[in-house]
Amino acid sequence: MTSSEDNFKHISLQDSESIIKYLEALGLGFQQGALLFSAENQQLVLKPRGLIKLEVEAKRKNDQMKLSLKMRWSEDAPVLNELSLKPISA
Amino acid sequence: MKPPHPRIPKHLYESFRFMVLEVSKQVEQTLAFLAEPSPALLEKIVGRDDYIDSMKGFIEEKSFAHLASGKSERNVVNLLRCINTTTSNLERIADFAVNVVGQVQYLSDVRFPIRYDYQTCFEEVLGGLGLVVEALDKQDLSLALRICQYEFRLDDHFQTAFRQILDDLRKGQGVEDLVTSLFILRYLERMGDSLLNIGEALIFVMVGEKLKIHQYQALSDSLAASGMNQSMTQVEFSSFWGNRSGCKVGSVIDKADKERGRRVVFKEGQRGKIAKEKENIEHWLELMPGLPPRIVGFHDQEPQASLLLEYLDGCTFQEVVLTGKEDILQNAFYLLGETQMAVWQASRRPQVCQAHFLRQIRARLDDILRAHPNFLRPAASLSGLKIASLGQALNSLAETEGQLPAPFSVFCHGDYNLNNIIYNHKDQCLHYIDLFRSGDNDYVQDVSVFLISCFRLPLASSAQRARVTRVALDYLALARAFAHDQEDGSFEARLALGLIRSFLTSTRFELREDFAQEMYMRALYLIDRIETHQGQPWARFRVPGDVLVC
Repeated sequence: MTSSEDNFKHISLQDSESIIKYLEALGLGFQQGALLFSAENQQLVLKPRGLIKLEVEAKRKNDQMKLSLKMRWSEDAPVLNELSLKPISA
Repeated sequence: MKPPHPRIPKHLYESFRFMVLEVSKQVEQTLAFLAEPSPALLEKIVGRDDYIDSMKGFIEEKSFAHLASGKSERNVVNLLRCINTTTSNLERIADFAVNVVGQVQYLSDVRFPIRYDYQTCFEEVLGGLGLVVEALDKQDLSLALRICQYEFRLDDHFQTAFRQILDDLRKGQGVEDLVTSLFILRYLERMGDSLLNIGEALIFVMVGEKLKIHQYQALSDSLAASGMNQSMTQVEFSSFWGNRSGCKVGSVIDKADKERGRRVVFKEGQRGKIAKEKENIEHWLELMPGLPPRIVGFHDQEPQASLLLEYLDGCTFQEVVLTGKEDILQNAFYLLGETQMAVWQASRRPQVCQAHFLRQIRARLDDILRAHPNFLRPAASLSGLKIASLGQALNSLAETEGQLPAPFSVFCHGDYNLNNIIYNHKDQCLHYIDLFRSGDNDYVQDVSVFLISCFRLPLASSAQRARVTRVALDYLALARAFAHDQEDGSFEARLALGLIRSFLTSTRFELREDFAQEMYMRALYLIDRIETHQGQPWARFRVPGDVLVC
């Protein structure tokens, strides 16, 4: 695991049962609108907003399988309730 | 800066340090030349190569002059040997730098090799060179090991680039540029070989591999005391086992009559260790006659002692697993199972005991972290999911271990790895060797060391991998059957602790960073499994067999 102010990385071995708690923790973070990553007094908070680009990639190479999930979004994305569209008044 | 020993001449050591700096500069300027070749820089590099050659000659000459000037202490001799091995390899690195520069004329585009990331190779070489003086100054073993690790990373990088170049060659274009790039990368890879030689020379000077004078003396006395009256000039000593458990081990045979001469094993080291091994062998002989080697002689000379042991014909179980024919492996494994069961049943005593796996980890933790500082995992949180630091995880594991004593003890080997089991096919028997750590203990100690010893084997093919995995899983089944017979409900949890111990402590001698990381992560995985199981009956815990699959 390495971390810096703008970067959090955690590598571990899991099995198909234990990995679920990681996926659930991430799912909960999305539900609550913020994902907090911390290590060594460094904190990184990601607040998913707007449209999120989701890339799912599954690969097989000989006996090695790989499934990668990548999510990208922009912190500059406007939040819908901040838009003020006023009805055109006659 | 002072030399690492007062009897190393100051001017010699200063030249040595200066040479390291010059070679680093040579490598840096070679990198600069690849980015922007110029006749002026080429002249500098070629000129410096001559200068480096003459510095090497100067250090060599001063070393020999110093040695010839009088009686030098052994550690001074070793240091001078180390310095000269290092300067020879530094000179080679400088030569390779000139070779790299010489390749540039064959490139149609000087920027062509950038795609194979030769810059990283230069960084690795410079990283290794940057540690040489400090390693010798401080006599720091971990720095010497790190220098060796640069070679492994350079090899990995070369392999990747090599495969990429082969793929590109198959496309049939830019052949001259591709071949030239390959040569450049090959020279950089060979700089890594020289770095490894430097690291090994530093390790030699710190650890000391040669037999010391008192060891020769002990060997000579032991031979005389045991009725083998050859003088030291008549026997041939092969230090083929090097140092094992802090003891020097080698075999001795009469040079004049190798055919009929009696071969014995000589073991010399701290009196406590050697005397303990003798006592353990005697215990094993009572328990299972023929299983350990016979004692031919014991020579006590405080603070050292030496043992002469029967030389056992056969091969190690490791050799059987790696290279033996299938029927021989099956046979050896059958004997191993029979022997193991017989030992466990014959030595079983109804006393609870603890292997103290956590204590074993803690005693080696500094060495582990010195070799792999990145293993010191801090506490972290991943979107609300708490991840314990390594320290927290070990503390918690220690508490768990306290609740898990073994219900009975057996006489354990104590270092039950595949190299310590000798299989004699002709006589159809097994022997145990290296018995200094034997004692009444939890049988899980031997089971876990055996299993991780399988996991650590260097494997060349997927067929070997499958074979070793099968041996490990069959052995696990055998141990599980014994645990079941003995109604040992906490066997699996203790096995997890034993495997965590062996996975973690094995990393301290592992220079292949990827493999060390693999073992470390398996240990963390098992720690997590144990933590997740807290609050449930330990009899329901099971070690996932996948953790042993190589």
